[in-house]
Amino acid sequence: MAFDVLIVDDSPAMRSFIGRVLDLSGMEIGARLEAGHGAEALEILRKSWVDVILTDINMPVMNGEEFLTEVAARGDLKSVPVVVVSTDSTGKRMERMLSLGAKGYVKKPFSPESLREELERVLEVADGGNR
Amino acid sequence: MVETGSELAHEEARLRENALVSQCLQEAAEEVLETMFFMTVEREVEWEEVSGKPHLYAEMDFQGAAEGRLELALSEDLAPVLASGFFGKDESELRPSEIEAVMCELANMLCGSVLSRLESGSLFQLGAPQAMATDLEQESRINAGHRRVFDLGCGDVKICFWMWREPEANPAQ
Repeated sequence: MAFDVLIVDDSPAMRSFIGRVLDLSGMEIGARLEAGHGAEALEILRKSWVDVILTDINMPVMNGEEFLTEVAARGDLKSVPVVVVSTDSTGKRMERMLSLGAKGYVKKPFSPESLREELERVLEVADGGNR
Repeated sequence: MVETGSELAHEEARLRENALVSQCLQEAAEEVLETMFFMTVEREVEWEEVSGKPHLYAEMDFQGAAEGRLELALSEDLAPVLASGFFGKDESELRPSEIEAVMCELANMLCGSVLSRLESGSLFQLGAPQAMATDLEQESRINAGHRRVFDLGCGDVKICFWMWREPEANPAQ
């Protein structure tokens, strides 16, 4: 089964890189949607369903913390797992993002394998281990 | 000049911190370059050894538990090689804006990696990395702080890092 993914990052270069890593990861990826910040991501999520969201933290307009808070507050999005993909990877920051509702955390720099492993773990968690 | 016990303790603490930051810079550079760019640090070189070569620059600030800045300079021959690997494109197809974007991503990842090593129990707000014009003023900007230069075989990476808790009273370097 192919997974639809939303990549939220203010850097087009990083969105492109993550997309390429997903392609190389061996996972079946369906639609790959992109947003430059949290508000744009919420707008996309109003119209499209995705299986998983990958989000950065430091972004203009709506940052990753604000985005996570919005996602957690919206009943229709609660079941969509959010994985933080960020250079900001102190233990304190990771703890904070997980407490806000993130289901996974991938520290940049990351290898294709580590992204795949985290996505598989999170999608299994989100699906009750049935995937 | 006779140093007091407290001065000696302060100097020892400063030397320990310098060694720790220096080690973190090396570990961060190796991790980021190997994981994201499949490049290996061949050796460390002296700052002066590469100071006359043309470089491209990027920098970013951070605030929070401590304030500071990371500055990055890539030799002009290395920047397109890294960008080519990052985008999966031939060097001849790269636009200057793509090379700048990769410089910024590299600065961002290095800064995050160094901070997570130095201060894992702290919260920081990382600023937006910016590519800077190559000029003499920039060259002089990168001549302070903790400095490391790594030779990757096909070019060099210069990294400069400052961190301080109380900018006016207690600089780390």
